[in-house]
Amino acid sequence: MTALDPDRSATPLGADDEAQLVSVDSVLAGGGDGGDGGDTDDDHGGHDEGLPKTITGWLTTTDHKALGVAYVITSMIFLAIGGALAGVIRAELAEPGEQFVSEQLYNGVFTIHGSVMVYLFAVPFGFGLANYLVPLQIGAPDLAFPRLNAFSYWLYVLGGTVMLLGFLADGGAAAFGWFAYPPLSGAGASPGLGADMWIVAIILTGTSGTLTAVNVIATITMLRAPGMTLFRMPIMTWNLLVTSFMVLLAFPVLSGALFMLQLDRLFGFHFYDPTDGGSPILWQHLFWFFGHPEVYIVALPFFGVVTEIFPVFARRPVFGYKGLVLATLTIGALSTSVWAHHMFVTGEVLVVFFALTSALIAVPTGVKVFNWIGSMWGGSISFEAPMKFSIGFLVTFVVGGVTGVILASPTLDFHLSDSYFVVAHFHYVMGGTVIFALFAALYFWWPKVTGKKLSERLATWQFWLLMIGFNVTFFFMHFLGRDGMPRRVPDYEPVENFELWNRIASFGYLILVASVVPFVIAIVKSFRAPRTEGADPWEANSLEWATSSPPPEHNFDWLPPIRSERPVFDLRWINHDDVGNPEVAEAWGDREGVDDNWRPLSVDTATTTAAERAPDEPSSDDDDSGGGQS
Amino acid sequence: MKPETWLWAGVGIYFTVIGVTYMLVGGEPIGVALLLMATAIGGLIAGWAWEWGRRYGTRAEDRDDADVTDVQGVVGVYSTHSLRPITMAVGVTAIVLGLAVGSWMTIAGVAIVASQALLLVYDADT
Repeated sequence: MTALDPDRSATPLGADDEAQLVSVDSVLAGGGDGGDGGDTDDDHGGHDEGLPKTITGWLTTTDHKALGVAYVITSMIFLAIGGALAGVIRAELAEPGEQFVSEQLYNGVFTIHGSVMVYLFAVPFGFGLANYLVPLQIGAPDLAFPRLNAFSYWLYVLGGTVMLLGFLADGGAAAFGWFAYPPLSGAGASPGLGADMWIVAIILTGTSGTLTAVNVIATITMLRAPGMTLFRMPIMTWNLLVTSFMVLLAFPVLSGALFMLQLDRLFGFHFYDPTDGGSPILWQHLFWFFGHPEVYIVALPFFGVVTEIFPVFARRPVFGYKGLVLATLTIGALSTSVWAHHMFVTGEVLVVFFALTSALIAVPTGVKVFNWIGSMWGGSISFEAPMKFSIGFLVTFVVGGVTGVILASPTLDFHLSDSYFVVAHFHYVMGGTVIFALFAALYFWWPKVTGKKLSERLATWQFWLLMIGFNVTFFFMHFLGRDGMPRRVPDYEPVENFELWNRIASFGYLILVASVVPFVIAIVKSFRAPRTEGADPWEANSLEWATSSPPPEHNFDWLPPIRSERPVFDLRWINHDDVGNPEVAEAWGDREGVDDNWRPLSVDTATTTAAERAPDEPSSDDDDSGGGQS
Repeated sequence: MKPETWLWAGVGIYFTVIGVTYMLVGGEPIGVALLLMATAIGGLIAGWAWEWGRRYGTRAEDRDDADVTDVQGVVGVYSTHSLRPITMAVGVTAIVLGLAVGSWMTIAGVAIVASQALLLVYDADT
């Protein structure tokens, strides 16, 4: 493979010599389904594009694409609910004093806000991406266990519903923060059904996540298409594999810890009760053994998203593929060895050990940032919506990462712990990372799911409103925390500019809400627009772009040869013997007479090229096409 | 399956090293136990992958030069629509929530899960 993508000197989404490029659509239109990698002996009951048409269809579907879409929609609904609860928090804090809600209700609001955002929005959105994309990116017809997949989804929906219904319970919803430290979360300090419902909800969603992780790992291990070796998988799939492993490691620990907490609360056990030989510190260890990997469980799928997007819109191959895989594996490993940095202020942990491992995790994360920049460096960058949001992600994530290094230092952590600095850091890392990359993903894969693109003009409005709104809301919280404002308080004294910073943050929230409006309009417009996009509207790289938009049932009627991590790119440039992987032309030649879609690929260039030729015979004009190769 | 075996073996080795290190530098027993149990997860999957590879050999998806034309037949049998996942989820929710709400809900949950598990058997070819 050449080091540089010749597209770098080409027009944003094409090439100087477009006639020489092979389009996926032209190949897909070529015939039947011979050579099919996706034959199965049944069907999904009559929905021709993988998405059900009726309510019953949605309730009973086992199709990974439908469930992927369902996960995304459901998680976005939870995002709206979590966002509305954030509005209550910002309204309350806009002025000193008690404004709208009582202290108890405020505690419930920030608890459910955090819980919804972490457990019901961010992680499940990643599962939605995994559902939809993993089979498509590895050339599989579905996830390995479709019924288990549907079961996981419904556990998640029911778990989330149980959590929100806690507001209606006697005594209100859980009000002990999203990490539920005992003894505050014990029966004495937090009596009532609402707290129990919160615990049940997290057990259900955690079990759902564990089952999904098993499904994803099994699928990636056993259902890859021929030629799709591990080191040809897209980085997105790699990230989802590592995420799934971390889920497998972390979620059962949380579920176990929650069962123990429930036993303490309901049946008088003493796991976390220090008066009877238990230990609240035990909970903290168990929780953060889940809780820190959770940060990366949330983030890694979105790292994968931008790693897919940067190369496409910079017209470059991803910089340092194996380095990115190694960095992902290293993040996965290290993130399970840093949990007690959340417990520095307890004075009960090995501060040096965890400070060291926490600082170390900045290295693979830095490698990723370096590789993302490297993927853009020298490229022919175009700023379509997915690229805009990916760059927004990068900026936000770096800010959050830098403040993370600050918090990894025990001396600074002792000062900043439980302050608004932590809130700011946390929202930059998990909020900013997720929100920007989420919209990047939605704009990028929307044409694949619907066959239509979203409005670029509205995306630009949304991007700038989001960028401004996010930073206005959260940046000044660093100052609040530095100056000593504690988190999780409904009231504060008007000292040290607390009032000013809080007002600015609350104003920023309004801009954030406004940023949603262009997106909603774009979606409505998209639904009313005709389906116009082909299989590969962005001229992208990975296998999901080798099938129609939306994909057919069981995903593929046809698969291209897979000889690198960019099979669609290789196919597109197959007529250029010095671009992409040269083995693709050879593999293409071997399909003659076997693959119904096979034909000499110069047919694609019939409008400008006189003679048909075999794909492995270089064209005479190859030398001056797609300039800039090296 | 060799890359998969090495991948998961690497997970096991990493957690052995970090777990033992943590123990040696004076880490508390909770963390040591968690890290060493993580070793077991990596080792379990690595062992399965190694055994699978030993039994069935190299697959088309492990070969650099394989193409879809190198395999034939049915890739897999995939379920059609099924009512069982949602009803099972309702049953499991009732069982767990019943711990807090009341035993009647847990009993109802057990009944739902048992009946749906039974019906799931007949789901295979529908």
